[in-house]
Amino acid sequence: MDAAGIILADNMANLSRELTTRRTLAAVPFGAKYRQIDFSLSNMVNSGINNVGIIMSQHYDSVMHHVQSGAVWDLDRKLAGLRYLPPLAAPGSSMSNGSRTESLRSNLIYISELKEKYLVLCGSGYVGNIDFTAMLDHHIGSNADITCFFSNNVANQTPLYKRMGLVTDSDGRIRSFDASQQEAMNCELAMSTCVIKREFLFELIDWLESALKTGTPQGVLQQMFTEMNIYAHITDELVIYLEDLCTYLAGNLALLDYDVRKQLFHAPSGPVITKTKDSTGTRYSETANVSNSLIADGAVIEGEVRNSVIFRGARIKKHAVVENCVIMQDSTVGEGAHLNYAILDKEVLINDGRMLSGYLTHPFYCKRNERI
Amino acid sequence: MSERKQCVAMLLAGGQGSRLVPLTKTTAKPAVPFGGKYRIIDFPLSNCVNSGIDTVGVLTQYQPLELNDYLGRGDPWDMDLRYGGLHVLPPYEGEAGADWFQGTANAIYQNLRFIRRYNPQYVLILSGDHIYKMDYRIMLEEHIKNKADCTISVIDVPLEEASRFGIMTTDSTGRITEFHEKPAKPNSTLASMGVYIFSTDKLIKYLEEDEKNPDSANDFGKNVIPLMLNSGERMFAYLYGGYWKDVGTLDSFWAANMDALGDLPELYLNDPEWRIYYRHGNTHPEFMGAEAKVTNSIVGDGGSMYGTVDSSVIFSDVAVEKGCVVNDSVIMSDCLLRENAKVSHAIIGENVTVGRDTVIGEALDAGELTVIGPNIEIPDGTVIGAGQIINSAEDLPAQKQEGGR
Repeated sequence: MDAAGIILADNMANLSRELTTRRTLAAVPFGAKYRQIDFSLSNMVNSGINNVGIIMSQHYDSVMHHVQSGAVWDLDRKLAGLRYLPPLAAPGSSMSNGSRTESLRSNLIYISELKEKYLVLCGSGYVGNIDFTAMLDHHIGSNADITCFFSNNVANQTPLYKRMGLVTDSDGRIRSFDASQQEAMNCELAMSTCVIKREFLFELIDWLESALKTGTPQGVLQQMFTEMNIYAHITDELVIYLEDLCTYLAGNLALLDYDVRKQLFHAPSGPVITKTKDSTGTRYSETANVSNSLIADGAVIEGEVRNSVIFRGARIKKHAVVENCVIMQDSTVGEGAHLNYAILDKEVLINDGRMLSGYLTHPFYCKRNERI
Repeated sequence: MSERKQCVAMLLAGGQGSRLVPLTKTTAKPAVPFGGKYRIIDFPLSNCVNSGIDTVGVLTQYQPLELNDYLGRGDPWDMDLRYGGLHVLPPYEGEAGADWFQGTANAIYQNLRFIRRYNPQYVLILSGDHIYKMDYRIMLEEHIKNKADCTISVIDVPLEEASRFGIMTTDSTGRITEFHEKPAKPNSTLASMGVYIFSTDKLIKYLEEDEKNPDSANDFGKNVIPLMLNSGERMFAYLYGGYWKDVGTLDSFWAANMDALGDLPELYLNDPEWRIYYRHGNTHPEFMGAEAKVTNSIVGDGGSMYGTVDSSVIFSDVAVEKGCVVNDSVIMSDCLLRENAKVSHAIIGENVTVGRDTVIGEALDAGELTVIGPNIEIPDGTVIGAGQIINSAEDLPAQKQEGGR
């Protein structure tokens, strides 16, 4: 595939901050044993892209610690492979601005030295199992300047292109959008995942920077749709948005559906690859009672778990009842505690007998290392 | 590089494991899966890493393909090093001709060049068919403290089992006075675990001497250890008190898997201080269906569970359909248990499809262990009684012809 990948490991798509106070969106744990960036990296590699840059914003230590050399994705190559692109790569760029245009500009030297004709840019606001080769073929076939990825098949939200009210020609060229919609505010979000000719990116950045000086984001977006050949590549590949706590909880619980798991983990494009932890098998004790749940290895289950997603190394003690919850890595639910619609971040300790309850629209969230 | 390694480990992984057939039909014994996630060889290799030993020669011979793939560059055990690390050492053709490894001692003898390259003071000899977690550093400290030429790790076994092992007698300082390989009438209960530390110069000396003896079986237990003892070398027993099990037979292999179960298991695999490392597949998390009931068990990931499982070890990518009942069993990766299958007191090898309403084995207290070899498709409604060992599809009981279907 004549394309290099760029993963935008920023927090642009993140509408609530709870999960990203100490990590970037790309490092948010998802689906019992993954982090968001596992899906982006696996999509790249499964699509035959083996030159991948990760543009990072704040709190990128969590991403680097997780991805390391990229060896698990076979990205520790001599001739291509993984490249971390931290902020402030170019003199004069400022961290405070933090827009995508800015971060791409800071990395123009890296981008100009690439050999590939096309770039696949990939945002961090969702997980999915996506074949980028189809998007690239569409891009080349339609002679587009930019081809943006949209999915019709979103497990936990209305698809973004619908919320934006995108209007396209029959061949997919985007003509306009509904500026009255809140989601239309951020043109960068709309371009989250796209393919672009590498040479055109340089022009685009200059164009965007001067246009944004005078125009509003909506105005600039409409101008782009008018002046450039921007195409929507709308597919049925399953996508789960990670926009805020509600979509996060609903997105995790969506995995309890067989079809969702099948589309995400057994898609023809390939497996979702993640870093290994050498966890032992999940241990169920005599008193365990688990139904309709997704359980990672290394978890220890002694109590009741229903309709939940349990990460590696989590422990649910005797007589505890965990329902409709996401319990992240190494968290412990004490004896006799009852949890409903709760999200426990990593290494949370719920002491014996505590009762915590939220609702699908208002999940009860415990931040990392919290003790209750 | 001239850095010297203090201790190099040599892992004997060429064993055929004939008593583990059908599990070893197409793979070497050390590559046999164990404990839901692991293979047998992960235990000695992880013990090495956790004991600070980063240079291991793995001697392979029987059915090495799967084992070699599994070992790779040694990266799962952090042994992909520029200097040292994990090296697979197969038999090779030399100037004087090609030789299979004749015995355990001959296998090491043929690879003395590997040992000499690292110029270690000590050589640790391990075998690939034991399940245990052991800090070799403590044994090495004992070896150094005793100024020993050879230290043999031993466990205290019941007297009635002693004749299955190499048995030694020691004096009050732990120095070995007598050694008998599988004695008919054992006079001690200290059994060799097959874990030896040699001072390198003595190892080389006695391996060379043993090679010169045309009558020798070139085996450590039968030849080299008695030879050293008779020559008056300083040989010590190191008494190990932790969990150790020889998984050389189907029954002991099954029992060792069962030892990992329970809230306070004899074989504790969740110990963060002594992790067992292994090579992973890309499996997604396990799905537990609404009707699933899993108790007192270890379950790998990637599979889906809709049946009832108790006191069992289930590996990764195993699908257990509705109505299935699994008790006291070991079910290896990629198996499919169709609806209402019943499995009791059995080992099922990798990639076996168990047909609907099939019954395998009998309750734990009723009979013997039933074993199904890997890659077998068992038709719907088959009944496989207790104690049967199914090597291939030909061993399956004849199908009853049902009318009207």
